[in-house]
Amino acid sequence: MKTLILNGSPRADHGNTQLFIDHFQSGLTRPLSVRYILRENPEKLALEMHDYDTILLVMPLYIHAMPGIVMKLFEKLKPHPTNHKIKIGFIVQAGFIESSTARFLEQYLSSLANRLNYTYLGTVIKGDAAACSILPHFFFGKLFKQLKALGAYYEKNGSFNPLLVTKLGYPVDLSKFQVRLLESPLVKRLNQIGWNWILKRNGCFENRFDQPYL
Amino acid sequence: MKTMIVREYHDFFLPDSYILDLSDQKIKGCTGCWTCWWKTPGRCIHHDLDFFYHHYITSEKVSFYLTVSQGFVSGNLKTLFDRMIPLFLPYTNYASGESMHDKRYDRYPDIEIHYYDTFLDAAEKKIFEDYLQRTFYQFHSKNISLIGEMRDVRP
Ligand SMILES: Cc1cc2nc3c(=O)[nH]c(=O)nc-3n(C[C@H](O)[C@H](O)[C@H](O)COP(=O)(O)O)c2cc1C
Repeated sequence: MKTLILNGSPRADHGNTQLFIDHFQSGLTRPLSVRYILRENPEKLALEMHDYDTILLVMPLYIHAMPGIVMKLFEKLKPHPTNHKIKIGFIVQAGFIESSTARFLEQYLSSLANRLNYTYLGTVIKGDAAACSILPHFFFGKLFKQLKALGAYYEKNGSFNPLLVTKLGYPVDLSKFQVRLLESPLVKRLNQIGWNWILKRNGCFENRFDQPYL
Repeated sequence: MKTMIVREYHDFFLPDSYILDLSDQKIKGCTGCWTCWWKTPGRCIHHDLDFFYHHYITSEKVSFYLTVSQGFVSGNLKTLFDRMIPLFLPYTNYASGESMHDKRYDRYPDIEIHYYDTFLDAAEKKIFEDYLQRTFYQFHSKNISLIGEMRDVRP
């Protein structure tokens, strides 16, 4: 089973997508090859994808869907010229907490696989991941363990472990209680501390509400 | 009423309106650097869209004329959407029951989307329409309408 991992982040190998790939790979006995969509010619890559049995595309959520560079690759994809049935699976990580934020992307990815006559392995969605590469690793210890287990299961079975997919996708939507908590003045303030700290460190806190394009 | 046109097809124009012609302008990609939120609030490191940002934010209505590509929005249009993140604040609110970024500007334009309907089936079309509705809802536009145009409408 020849698998190719594609990294679909515009930050290529120094973003959160790369961390997801690294932890997925840590569950494998033999690492898989990784290519970076940012650095590829989409037409050439689309053709070379036909040499694999399975494609795993790992990407950040960008404006409720795939980053522009990934859509540019999708535009070049064609069904395999022979009967060879390629399998394709996706891992999407996002900033917002609830995984339902990626629901239209998930629907599109499934429909794309169908369009291309590929076998769809599903889409793993993990929200609340924007700070993965900023905060110390122990904040995300549980996530990294789950990704390692996802990798180990994939190597053994050639598919995503449905239990892990459910766990990573939690919460699908915010509960009323979560909304009330997140909207409470204290939690709102706490949530802003991180952003404001970065803005202050960069000397632009006073400009945070600028409207430069008016 | 100040109107802007963003088009991937059609060649008409409205007097005094700004046109972003995506059929001959390739939008520079978002690099994911977050400079627009962390270093120069509201301002992108690239400058190819400075005019677009100004006209988008000062228009009452923006009309899009879109082609459908591989059953979805084109890569170039998706790149434009990615580059619209500077128009919003990093802060998130949950008042609507889901995560949503706060407004940076006081008002955002109404959106009218015309698309050239080349879907293979109704399900594909629904994903495309739902996606665009969601995107502009999250971009704080109040009125969003979608109009599918059939093949023979295309020049
Ligand atoms: C232009 C842009 C658009 C984004 N849009 C969304 C979004 O719609 N929903 C979301 O939950 N996160 C969104 N994010 C957050 C990213 O998904 C998140 O930061 C991710 O971890 C980045 O991964 P990377 O470091 O591998 O690029 C966006 C980030 C950028 C830069």
